Amino acid sequence: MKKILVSISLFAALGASLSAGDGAGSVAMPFAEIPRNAAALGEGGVHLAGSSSSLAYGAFENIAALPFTTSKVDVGGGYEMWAPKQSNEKFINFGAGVHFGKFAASVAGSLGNNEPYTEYREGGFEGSKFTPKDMHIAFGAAYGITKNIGLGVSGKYLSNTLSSAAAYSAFGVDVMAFGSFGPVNVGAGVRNIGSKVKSYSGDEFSIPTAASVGVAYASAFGLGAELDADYVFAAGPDISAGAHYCWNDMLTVRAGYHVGAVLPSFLSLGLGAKFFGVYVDAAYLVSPAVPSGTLCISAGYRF
Amino acid sequence: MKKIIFTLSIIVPLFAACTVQTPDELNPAAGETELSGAVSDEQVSVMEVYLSEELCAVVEREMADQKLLTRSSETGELFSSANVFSMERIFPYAGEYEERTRREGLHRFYRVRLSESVPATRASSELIEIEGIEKATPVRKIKQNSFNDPELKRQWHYYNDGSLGSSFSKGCDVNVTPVWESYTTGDPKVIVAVVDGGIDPDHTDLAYNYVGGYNFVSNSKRITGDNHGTHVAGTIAATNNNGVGVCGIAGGDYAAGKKGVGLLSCQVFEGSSSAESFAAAIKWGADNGAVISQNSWGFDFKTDQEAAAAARAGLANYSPGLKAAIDYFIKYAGCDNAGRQKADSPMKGGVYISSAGNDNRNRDVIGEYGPVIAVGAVAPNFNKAYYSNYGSWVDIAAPGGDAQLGTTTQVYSTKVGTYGYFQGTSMACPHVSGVAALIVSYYGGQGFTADKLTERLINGANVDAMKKTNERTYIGPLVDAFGSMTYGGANPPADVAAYTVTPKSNSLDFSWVVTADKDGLKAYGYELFASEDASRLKGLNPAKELPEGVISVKVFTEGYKVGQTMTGRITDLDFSKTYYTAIAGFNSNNFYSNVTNASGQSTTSADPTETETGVNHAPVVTVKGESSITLKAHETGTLKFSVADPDDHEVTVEFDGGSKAATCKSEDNVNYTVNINAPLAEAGIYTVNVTASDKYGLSATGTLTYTVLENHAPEKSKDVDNILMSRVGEKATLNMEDYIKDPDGETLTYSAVLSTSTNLTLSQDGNTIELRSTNFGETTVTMRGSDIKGKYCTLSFKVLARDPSIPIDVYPNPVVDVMTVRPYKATSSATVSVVSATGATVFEQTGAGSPFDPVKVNMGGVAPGKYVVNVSFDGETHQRTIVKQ
Repeated sequence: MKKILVSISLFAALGASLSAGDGAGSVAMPFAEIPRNAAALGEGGVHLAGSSSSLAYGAFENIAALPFTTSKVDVGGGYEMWAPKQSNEKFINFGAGVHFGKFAASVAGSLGNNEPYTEYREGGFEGSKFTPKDMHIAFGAAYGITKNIGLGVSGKYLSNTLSSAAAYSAFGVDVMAFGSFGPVNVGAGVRNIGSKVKSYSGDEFSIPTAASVGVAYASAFGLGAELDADYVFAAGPDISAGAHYCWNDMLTVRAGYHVGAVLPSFLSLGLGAKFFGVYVDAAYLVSPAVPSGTLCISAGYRF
Repeated sequence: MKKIIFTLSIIVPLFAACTVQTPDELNPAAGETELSGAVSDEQVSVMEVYLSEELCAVVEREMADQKLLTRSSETGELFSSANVFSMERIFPYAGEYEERTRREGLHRFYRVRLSESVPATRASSELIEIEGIEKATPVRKIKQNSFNDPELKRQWHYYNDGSLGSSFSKGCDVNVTPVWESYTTGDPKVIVAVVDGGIDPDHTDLAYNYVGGYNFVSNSKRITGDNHGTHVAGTIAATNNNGVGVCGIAGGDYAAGKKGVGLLSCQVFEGSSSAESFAAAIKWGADNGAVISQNSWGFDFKTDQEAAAAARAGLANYSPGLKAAIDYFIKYAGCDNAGRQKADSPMKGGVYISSAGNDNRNRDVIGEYGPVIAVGAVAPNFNKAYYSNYGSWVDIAAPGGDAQLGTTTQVYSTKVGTYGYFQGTSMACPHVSGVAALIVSYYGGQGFTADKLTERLINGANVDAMKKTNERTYIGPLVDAFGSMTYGGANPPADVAAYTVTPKSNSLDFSWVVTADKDGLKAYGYELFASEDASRLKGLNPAKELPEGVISVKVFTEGYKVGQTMTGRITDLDFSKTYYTAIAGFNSNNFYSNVTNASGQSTTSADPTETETGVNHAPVVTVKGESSITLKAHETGTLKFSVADPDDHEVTVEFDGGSKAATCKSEDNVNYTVNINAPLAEAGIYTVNVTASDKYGLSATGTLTYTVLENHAPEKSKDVDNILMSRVGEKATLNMEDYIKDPDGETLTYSAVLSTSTNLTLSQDGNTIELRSTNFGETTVTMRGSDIKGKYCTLSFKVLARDPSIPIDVYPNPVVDVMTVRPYKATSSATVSVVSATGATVFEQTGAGSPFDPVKVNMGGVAPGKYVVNVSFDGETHQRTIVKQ
């Protein structure tokens, strides 16, 4: 099914208030919102209505969409260099999923390694260096309750080691639904329902719990498009829109746009190739903001 | 003057049995006289005579008139044929017992001295020829058996009759036995400090007179007996008459229950060790009651040249500490802190007696120091001991023994647990100390000084005995205990020819010229008399108890010379009353001149001088200089006043300073200084009240005032700039006085502290601080200036040491709450943004910033995580990764 993604911009008003910094700083472990699937990232980070869903990374995306994929097995891994001009965090991503009958399951993970930073004491006294690390592990399962509707649940573990004395972890759950109605798919759910992270000063911060809804359209000519809307309760709305053109189920070009509170705005471009089950996807972000220069490569094997 | 005095006894029974019969036996028939007892042909110069009443009356009259034995006198004519030059009563005036003394005829016994030694028979016959002399006998030699100490017979140095052998010459001794018999055996009020090896405190013959000591070798009170020190101590005060061992010159009389002088052991030798400070031991003696310092030790010079060089340098240069200790002993022995003679001290000041040395040299640095009494050693035959040092600096000689003449010619005394012989100037020296102790025992008391002791000791010594010896190698006259005791003779001073008496309120001021006696010695003192009843002064005999109603004052001629004008005062008389006055001089043996009036006439025949005392006048308080003073709160000042009494009455001064800031002191009880220490008082005006009162009830007051101004706290005088250092080790110096000053002009006390010493050190020298960076970082320095009242002002500034190659500092990292973003330079517009790991901006702000006024970002509401801080200013953009915990 070809899907044509039409970029949609909802930006201007949202962008001004976000740049003031309201909300975004209130979300703990925001790295959980970074797309790990290069195909999804290439389409502006869409992840709810199945436009670029991957069986391997389904636990990170809409798990309820997995019973409606065409693949039976998908194993993949990837490398992601996020915001090289700012955060410069490097992730190793991996995932695996299976689909049999009305049932599907996926397990995925992402291990992030930051640039080391120098510690400084009060007064500016230099200390030692430390390298922060992130980890995002998810496991999900879904079931097609009808031939059009599926439901799924993902559980996830997030951890963040910031210094020799500060390491945080949290648990979250996604409860998702998916509906496939001809060329139109709809996805919705509540993501990252979970524990809070407590800072040294005693304040508690939520992981990016969000209510999400998305719709995708796939044409018969290899075009497809999707529009997602997430509302991160602690931060604000995230909008992702993307489109792709797949030629002969072998080559795919992608583009998308994202604007949001947790992830800043970016324009994404992506390419994909698949041959005899082996697939490679790449996405590159063009943005005036922090994510500019982000590169994500995913590869795997699905059948 | 050599005095050869054979042992005499005033023990009446002994004397009567040998030479005197009862008056009746003497005059079985009127006018007959006869020699009594056998008379040998020995040479004599002292005879005892018994006078008739008539001749006795003549003698007494002429003695009172100061005409005795003078050419124009009757006695002079009578006694000239017998070459008598002096005579004195054998039984002195007996005071309240004079009546019965005269009743028994004892006042008629006289001792006459001949101008030359003649055979006893001739002396007797010549005297008997004189009309009025009923009896004339030589002084009988009495065997020395007054003490029962069995070893006294070995102690030729106390009594040498020549019988111990050919090396022993009669009379070569210290002539102490007459003193024991007639004067004193020693008094425990006199303490002799023996600076030497330790005295054996348990010795049978020393324990009685041992009073304590200190061991300067071990710095403890434990005295360890030493033969040398014990021998020396025994010569001074081995216990007399205890049936054991030996005698000591001032050892008391055990059988009579009389202690001798106290022996204080200042141990400076112990085995082969010696004290580190002999000077300390000498001083300790003065501080512990001694008035005589006995020192039989000296410096160890290997050659004559060495000794001579030291002597040329003088003790002040060779051993200034020792000299200081000797001076201290001489000045302060027997005195209180102010140098006044203590009430219970027998002498004002001390004497330092030192052995001359045993090297047969003519130099010694200690002995040659003027105030030291240096003692040379004589052998029992009047010759200088072969070893004794000599020279004009040797003051006096004493028996030291001479082993070359035989063991028994040495000095016999106590040793540790036993007795034995030693020789040396070390042995001679304690003989002089012992004789000095006897003199002080007898004459000591209020007004007796070390100079008087020295005068008696040296001038009373036997010059003639050493005449031949001293021609060759001088070691001074031979110490003579009896000669020193009787020094001054029996001649009273001449009458005071005239005096003036001036009333001063209730005092009478006398002024007269110092007189001398027939021997050329000045009067020892004068007694001033006053009485409301003239008859009480007529025929007054001051040697007797003064009659009631006669007021007298004694003044001594210390420091005055014959012919100089001297003054004295009788105080505490009644006001505005008529008094009659007179004066008389006396010698050291209390022989008085005639009592005379202001015209020099004897009050025996003439009237005393009439005068009238005056009225009492109140003291006068005089403010000197300003009567008031104004002080700032931190200042001190003085006010002065003087107190005088026109009548020279003693005045007591009461002082009320108005506050604890004012104190009053005086060095001379005349001029007073009020010291005002303003910090001790609050601001205000205070009055000082002074009241001076004499003891008769009159008083005067004086008033002074002082004002203490309000204190003002120190203030900042100028701002202090923050200091930016660009390298470790960089220094900065500030004078805190430039920044904090006192509005009252007070000199403040400054201090400074650091908020942390992690990156900066602070050192302070006076009001200046030096700061030195030891690490990069920021520190707050707080200066403080305080005034004397405790008020202060503080000023703080920052010192920042940072690496100039690093454009921004972001800290702390990790951050919990507030993050500081510090640019390397001041900027009016710096944009600081904080971006989350996903790229979301969580903070952005634009404003001014500087190294000392950085941008503060409150990260309290930001979730834990990694963030990037972007700082842009003046066209530069800098980035730091931080972590929020």
